[in-house]
Amino acid sequence: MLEIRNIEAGIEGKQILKGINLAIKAGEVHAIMGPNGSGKSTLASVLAGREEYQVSGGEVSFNGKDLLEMSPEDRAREGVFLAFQYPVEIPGVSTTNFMRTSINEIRKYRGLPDLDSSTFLKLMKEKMAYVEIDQKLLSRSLNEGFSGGEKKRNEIFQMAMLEPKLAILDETDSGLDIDALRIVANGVNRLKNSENAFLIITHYQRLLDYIVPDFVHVLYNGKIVKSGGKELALELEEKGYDWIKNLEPANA
Amino acid sequence: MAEETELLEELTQGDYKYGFVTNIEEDSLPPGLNEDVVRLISLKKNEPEWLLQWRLKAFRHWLQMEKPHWQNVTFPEINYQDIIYYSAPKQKVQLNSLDEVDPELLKTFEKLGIPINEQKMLTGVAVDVVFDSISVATTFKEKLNEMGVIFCSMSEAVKNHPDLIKKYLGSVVPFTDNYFAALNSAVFSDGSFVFIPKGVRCPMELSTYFRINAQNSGQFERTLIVAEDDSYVSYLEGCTAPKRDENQLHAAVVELVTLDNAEIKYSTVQNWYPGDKDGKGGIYNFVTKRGNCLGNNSKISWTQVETGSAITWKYPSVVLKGDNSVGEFYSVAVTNNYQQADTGTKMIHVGKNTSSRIVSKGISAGFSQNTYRGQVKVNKRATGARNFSQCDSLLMGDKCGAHTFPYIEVDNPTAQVAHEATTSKIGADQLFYCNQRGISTESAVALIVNGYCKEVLNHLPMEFAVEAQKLLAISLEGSVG
Amino acid sequence: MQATLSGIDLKEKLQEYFVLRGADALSQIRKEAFRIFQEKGFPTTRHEDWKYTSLLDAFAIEWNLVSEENSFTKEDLKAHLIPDLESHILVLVDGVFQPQLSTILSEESGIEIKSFASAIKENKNLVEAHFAQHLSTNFNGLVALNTALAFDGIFVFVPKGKTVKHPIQILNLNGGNNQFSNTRNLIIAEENAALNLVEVYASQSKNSSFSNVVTEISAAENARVNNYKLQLQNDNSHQINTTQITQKKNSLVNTFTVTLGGKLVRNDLNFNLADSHIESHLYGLYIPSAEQHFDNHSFVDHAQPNGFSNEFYKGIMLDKGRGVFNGKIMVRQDAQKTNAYQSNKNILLSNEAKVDTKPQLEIFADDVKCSHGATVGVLMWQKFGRISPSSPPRFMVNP
Repeated sequence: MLEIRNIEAGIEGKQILKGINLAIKAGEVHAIMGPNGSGKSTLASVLAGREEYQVSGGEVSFNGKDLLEMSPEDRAREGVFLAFQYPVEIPGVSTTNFMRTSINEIRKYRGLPDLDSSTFLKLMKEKMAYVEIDQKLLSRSLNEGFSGGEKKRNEIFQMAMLEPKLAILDETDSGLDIDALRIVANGVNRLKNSENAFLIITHYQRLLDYIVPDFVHVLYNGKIVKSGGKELALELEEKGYDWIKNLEPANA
Repeated sequence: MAEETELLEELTQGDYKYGFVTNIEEDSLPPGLNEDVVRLISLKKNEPEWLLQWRLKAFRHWLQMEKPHWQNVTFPEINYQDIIYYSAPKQKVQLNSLDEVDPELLKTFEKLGIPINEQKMLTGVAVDVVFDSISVATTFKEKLNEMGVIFCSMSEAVKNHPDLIKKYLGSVVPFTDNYFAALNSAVFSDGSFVFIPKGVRCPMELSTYFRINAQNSGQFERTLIVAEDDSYVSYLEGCTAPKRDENQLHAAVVELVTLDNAEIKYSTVQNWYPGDKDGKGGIYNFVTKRGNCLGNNSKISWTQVETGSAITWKYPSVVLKGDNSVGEFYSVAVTNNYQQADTGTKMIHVGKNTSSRIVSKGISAGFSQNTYRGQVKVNKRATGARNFSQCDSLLMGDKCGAHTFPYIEVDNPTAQVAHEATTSKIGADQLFYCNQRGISTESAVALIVNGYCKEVLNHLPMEFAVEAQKLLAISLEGSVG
Repeated sequence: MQATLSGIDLKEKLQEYFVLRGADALSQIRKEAFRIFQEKGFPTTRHEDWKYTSLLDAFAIEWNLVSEENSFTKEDLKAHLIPDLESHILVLVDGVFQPQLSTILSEESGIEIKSFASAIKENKNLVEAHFAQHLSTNFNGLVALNTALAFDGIFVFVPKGKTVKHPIQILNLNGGNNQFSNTRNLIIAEENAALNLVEVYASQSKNSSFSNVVTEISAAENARVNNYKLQLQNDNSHQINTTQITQKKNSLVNTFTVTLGGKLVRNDLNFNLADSHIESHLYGLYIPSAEQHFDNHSFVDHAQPNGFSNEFYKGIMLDKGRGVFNGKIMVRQDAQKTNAYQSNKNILLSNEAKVDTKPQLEIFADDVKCSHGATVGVLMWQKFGRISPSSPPRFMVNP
């Protein structure tokens, strides 16, 4: 589904990703771990198409299409979803209204008519249950005055609404208490199926207690230095990040 | 009630097919203004002597006034002798089909969802539908008549209700008020008169069937609304369809009066021709709007969405004379390209325990200048006065300007007045967040701007609000990204 | 326009000065300023900036432009000085420097603290480089008149990297009868220099006075200046006080303006922020009582990126006191990433008191954070229970 080949990228002239290789197939859950500043969030931003980041080398194909050629909105319409580390506030725009605009723009891209109100509301009711989110929260201004947990749950709710092919979770676990973490993880697990894939970016392995990855990759200094199964996350938790610093980049 | 709702729905949802035709003479005067012109206007309209004298007084006063010069608005000198002060409606070139109409204009119509027949009306294409002028408009009028509500043109009102006009015309905005109010008083062509008698809640928004009529009411329009004790009316002015008008100067006057416990809600969507992308052409909209809360516990509420005109200069105001009276002003003003808007309100607290609320949302894009200018005045005897003002500006790009000039004048120690203002922009992170959800930058801007204006749009009647939202998006097309 | 004041031909006055003191490099500037004065005249309420403050009553008084001799002693002054403050003391009586009443402490070499009149002679190059160079382009008639006619005041020069150890306290005293004085201060802080300037305005008699004061402050790169103004003149005094501050990169200027005395006080505080990364704070407190009229105007002009300004003024109006606040923040097109804040809070404590406040924002750049707010009334008291203007709570001045 997603194939990242030797990607190099940076911001404001500073190179951060120094040749990343990664292949994700439908039905898989990949976790990317690494210390602060290793380039985890940069990878998420580059895949989503954040303008400030410049790609200086490599390529990314998504279901056979050149992802880097696409505008951020077209990537989203093709099925790439990013759950933001810091969800953005939009005053005066409710989550409901936001989602409705989002879904209809995506449908338009796919040649489908707008969703009528009752179908939309039915869909919303169904997905609200995934992340135990309240109708009241969805009527409030998007992310404005939301607690950290509410923001992250709202991201997963949006993900549930849009049913992406590839979902990238950027430090979704940061700042969450254990209850919120469990709710978020449950939401992800309910969405998981053989048609979609997840890329989970995290600093700690605790989220991976709830969402079990098929593969774990360790990112350090802009490169993947080690890949393995879910047990690698536990190893990292135990040993900390220091021991990976001497590893040679893995050949993926 | 069910019947009323039905009627209302029919009026608001059906295709436009209701004419409100006033007989206008076929002839017109040459350009220029002098006393004879004022006399002729009055004569042609068959006006009583007192009104002629009133016009003449206004004209003589106008002659002695200085042309206004404003701080934040610039425009070339207007030659008042070039204007035609009385004419039959301009006979537009009759087109045969919409194919002959400017495609840009048609695109806008489409986005606004204006029905085909109405599009034809607005562009001067021959309409093949037969107007049934007796049907709904008449039913509508009969309905109002039963309740004692008067809703007619100013000319009719002068003929049929001279006492009311004599009592209230100029009572809120005297001709001495300002340059354009004086000019309007001397030469006003026509306009609307609304009278809601004691205890009557006007069951429908006085709006839709006014839509086309407004086309011909000319550049010097005059509106007067009087709400007697315990009455209520919601009045909608304007037209969300883009209006191309040859008249460059528009100097209207609107007067509102509420007696004890009465309420007037006045909503405006103004979308006159703003000029082209280089700032050529466009309407100068210099309007004096003022309400007088004469009675105790009365309320006047102004809501406006201003996206059109090359220059907008207007301050819908409320004089809070009655004790416990309430004044409100909710405004969205959008400027793009080379538009200039200098708008705001005045809240003059005179009675006891009066309160006022101001919410102003300015949006500047392109090379435009957008100014909020507002006055809150608490007179010496206005014990217990309250005001809260909130003025936000949104800037799009670094070639435009946003200005906030509140004047707060307090002469009573029990007053509580608070003013807050902020400036912001649409953040790159907000746009990216929307993009990542599949929303194009253009739709994202519309979404964010509508969110920003929500507090004001919420005060518009439902069907107006929907069109206003679309209008905001259209006005700001291409200003980001 | 006929340039007269209380029947005195001001043009003659200017020529008189030229004859008396001889022409110098400033003569040209003075002549030009006089031309501007003739063109503009004294401000009237017809000017938007003077809408709420009328000078009509002030100009009904017969003013005297020649200062009188005084016989004040250092002992007389004590009551006006800030107690227990070890500082330079520079005394001006009706705008004229009094060496016999002043005390200048020793400072590092290169630092100059003296009368403006001596600086014109002794620090010619510095004065020429700065005099009238910091004025805003659109200055009013009174500033023009001061520029033409003011020959004395205080001059401070702090060279690169030096810090003035002791605060500089300027005592402006009104003495003679019906004195109209033009005072001119010039404060120059070079790169990395620092100083504290304290201006005290007081009266030694009940006499009427009109003080037209103009202070120019230049803060070069990384300079730090604190400017305190304490206005305590008598009930017959009129003070028009203009402070013009120019700041360069990374400099910091704080101003504190406290107005408690005077019949009519009008302050114009103008910041020209013509460089990036500048920080400025403006604090003010005004408490007009009796029939006093205090007007604070300020103008913060952000012309370059990454500036920060914060203005906070509070007013308490007693008796028939009248307060005016007019603050303007300008953010020009190049001043991206500016943060500018302004707040003005007022309370009226009498039925006869009055306040007019006009906070203004003019923004031409989009990537900025600006806000202003103004309140009048007893909002902040609500938490203390019933509102009663006749018994004000004692903690009213707290933010």
